[in-house]
Amino acid sequence: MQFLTQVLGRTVFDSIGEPVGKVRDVIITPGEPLPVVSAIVIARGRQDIVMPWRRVREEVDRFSLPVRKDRIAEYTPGEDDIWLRKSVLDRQIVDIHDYKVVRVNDVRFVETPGQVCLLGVDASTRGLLRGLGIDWVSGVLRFLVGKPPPERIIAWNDVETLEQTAGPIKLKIPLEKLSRLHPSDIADIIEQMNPAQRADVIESLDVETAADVLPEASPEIQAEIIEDIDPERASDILEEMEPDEAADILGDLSEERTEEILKEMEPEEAEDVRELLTYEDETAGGLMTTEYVAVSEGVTAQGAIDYLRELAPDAETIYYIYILTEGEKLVGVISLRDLIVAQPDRPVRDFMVTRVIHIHPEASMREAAELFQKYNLLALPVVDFDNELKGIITVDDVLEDIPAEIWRGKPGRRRTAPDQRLDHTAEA
Amino acid sequence: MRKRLGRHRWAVFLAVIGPGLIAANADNDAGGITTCSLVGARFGYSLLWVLFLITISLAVTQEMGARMGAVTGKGFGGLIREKFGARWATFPITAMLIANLGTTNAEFAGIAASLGIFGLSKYISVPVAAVVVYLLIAKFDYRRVQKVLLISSSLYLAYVVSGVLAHPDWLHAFRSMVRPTISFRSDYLLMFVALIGTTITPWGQFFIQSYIVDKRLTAEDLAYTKSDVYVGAFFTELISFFIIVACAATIFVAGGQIGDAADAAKALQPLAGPFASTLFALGLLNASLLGAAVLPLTSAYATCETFGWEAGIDKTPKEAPIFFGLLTFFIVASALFILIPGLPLLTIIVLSQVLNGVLLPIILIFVLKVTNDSSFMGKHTNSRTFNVIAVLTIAGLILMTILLLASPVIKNLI
Repeated sequence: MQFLTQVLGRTVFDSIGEPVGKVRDVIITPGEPLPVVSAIVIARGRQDIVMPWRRVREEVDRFSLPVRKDRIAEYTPGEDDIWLRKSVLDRQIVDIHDYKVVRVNDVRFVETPGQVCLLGVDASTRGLLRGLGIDWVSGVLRFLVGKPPPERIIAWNDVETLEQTAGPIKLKIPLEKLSRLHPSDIADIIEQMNPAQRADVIESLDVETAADVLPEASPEIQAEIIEDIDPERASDILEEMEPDEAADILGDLSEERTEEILKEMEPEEAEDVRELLTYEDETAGGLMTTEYVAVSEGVTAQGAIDYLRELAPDAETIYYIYILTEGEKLVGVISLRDLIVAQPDRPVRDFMVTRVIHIHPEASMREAAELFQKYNLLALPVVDFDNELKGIITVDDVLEDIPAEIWRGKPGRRRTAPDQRLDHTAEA
Repeated sequence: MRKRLGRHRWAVFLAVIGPGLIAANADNDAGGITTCSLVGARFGYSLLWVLFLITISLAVTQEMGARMGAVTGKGFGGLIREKFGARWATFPITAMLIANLGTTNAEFAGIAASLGIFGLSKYISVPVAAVVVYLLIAKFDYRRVQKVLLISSSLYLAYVVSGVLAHPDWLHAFRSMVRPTISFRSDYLLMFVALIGTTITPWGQFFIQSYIVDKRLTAEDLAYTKSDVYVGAFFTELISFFIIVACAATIFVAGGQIGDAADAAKALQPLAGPFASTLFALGLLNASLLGAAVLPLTSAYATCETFGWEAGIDKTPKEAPIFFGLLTFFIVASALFILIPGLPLLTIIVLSQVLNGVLLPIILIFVLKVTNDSSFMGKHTNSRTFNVIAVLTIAGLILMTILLLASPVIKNLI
């Protein structure tokens, strides 16, 4: 057998040629390198017979069994077995290779000596036409536009099924293949799903992955997902995210829901997010995050490096280290490069850049973008009128939010990519 | 930080007007207004009993759609594909596409007729409207526009006032609602099927379900959804009732002739006097624009969902060729059809609703099959009462269609 749609509905005969019933489903068992067909389900009246595949003989256009129909040894489906008609054919699956959610038009098998393996699924229009029994349309299309609709099999290893059913019960399945993808790609995929599937996928991912995936989705979808999942899990995911990203999502939710989630969060994290929520959208304050690296001015280069080692993994960017007075006032900045090339015992205040390019929380996004562009920064500190450091804006936040025309800059002007150096700041 | 959405305001709005009410309100499109006007104008109160019965059918079938959406989180197209496979799914989808193409024609006919009242030639209004509709769908966030159009559909309340001011024979009207009368004249049968076809529509079935899915309502919200759908069905049919009563009390008593849209506007004279035509034209234009965008969208989304083609306004035509192809085809084909010289616009509108009524049983049979399947619906399968009402609706429609086909329709066209 080659295609599932060719197998379904075929009549199965017993050893003396009496019809037993029609093929209703095909069961596969996961295996290496490919899943193997382990049984077929035969509809016999209202009852299903699950027949082990090794006992089934395939003939032209029909199947036959070596026994009489009243002596059929049944196959007991295992937990990992997949019913192809019930769980795969006509269902939506994720094509891990192309990051797409597609509908399965057919399932392709390959025959190897002694067994039949599942090669992959066919989600192409060509497969749909074949399944509809109107393959000739492909010929017409080839005649009209010069090429037939492409035929493409998605290898089973690239297929993530979204739901599996065992009888009338729906199983929640761990999405292992999906979770191995890059968070941006997972986000692309969930954007193609319907709201219920999205919530299911986010629920199935571990908290860290979910926290990486969510910010990559569109703002509406982020808010919808957080609204749809359990508040406790929502708060776990938000805690894992950068405070500015968490605040973005919460800002789109209803106030009751926001409160509900903030209450579930760790008090410290919640405090950061609450503060960020007070800033207006589309201002520097709204863009910034409260996670940055800062040391006090008396610390030595070695001390700063030790501190970085200890704390940095949490911070969004560690390329700039901000220097603060005892009263949290911003007095300087050093780059990671400055820090590493400096003598270990030199205090940071001796080599820090003192004229720090900064922005006020109320400034517009556009002003922030212009500073980034002019000085080629990776991050920009946000300070209030008392020169107290409130947070930083990182370049990726600006890139996401600023319309492309601002970045294009003025014609004829030479631009360099943002880099790690602070030389420009020194000249400013 | 990203742009925050103006969600809160819409949240408040949606708290008052739920999906059921929105879907039901969208039901009062060009076909709805025209059919009800003609029903009242030609047959007075005598079809009100049908309206009474189909209000129940509408509530039940819409509730089934809403329930399927809430329980499965999937659109109707996806469900029939998953339950019946690609081959069987082509039947309801083809039926829906034909019915919807007819209704889209009706919407453009509505645009031509309403602007015709202002003296604008259809050779100008229809092409312009086609471009406007396409831009509304493709360039703007149609869901916002839809809300504006839905709010303006409160224009129909004018019929309630006008109906009251026309001093109808209330006793007669209410008696007609509960006392079935039937005639086997073909124009009566035609209006009978049109009235059903304009109320319970193939597209409405797809629309309510996808609306529920988009609004992310789940099985936990079923109690709310149910009451919302019932209120919506009641409200739509209340408007239909007043359109029929207003037309019966004004046009029917005066001889019952409706030749064009301007005649239909006379039903609003008790309220608006000389401005009746303007009011009618605005209401019809609004309803037609609403439908002219909703129908191509619903059709394209449902078809692509069923067959697994990419769909979405945020995609490019290259990424989603079939989706945009269908959208364009619906709009262009409908607009071109209405441009045929000498086309009787109101007749086209009513015939499209008849087509809806004739094709509806196919859709409803599939609705019934899915809503009774516990592997999709879990414990939320249909109650016996619901099944009985749905089966009676289907049987009644098929019977009326046979009667209609058996009678010499062509002779007595409106």
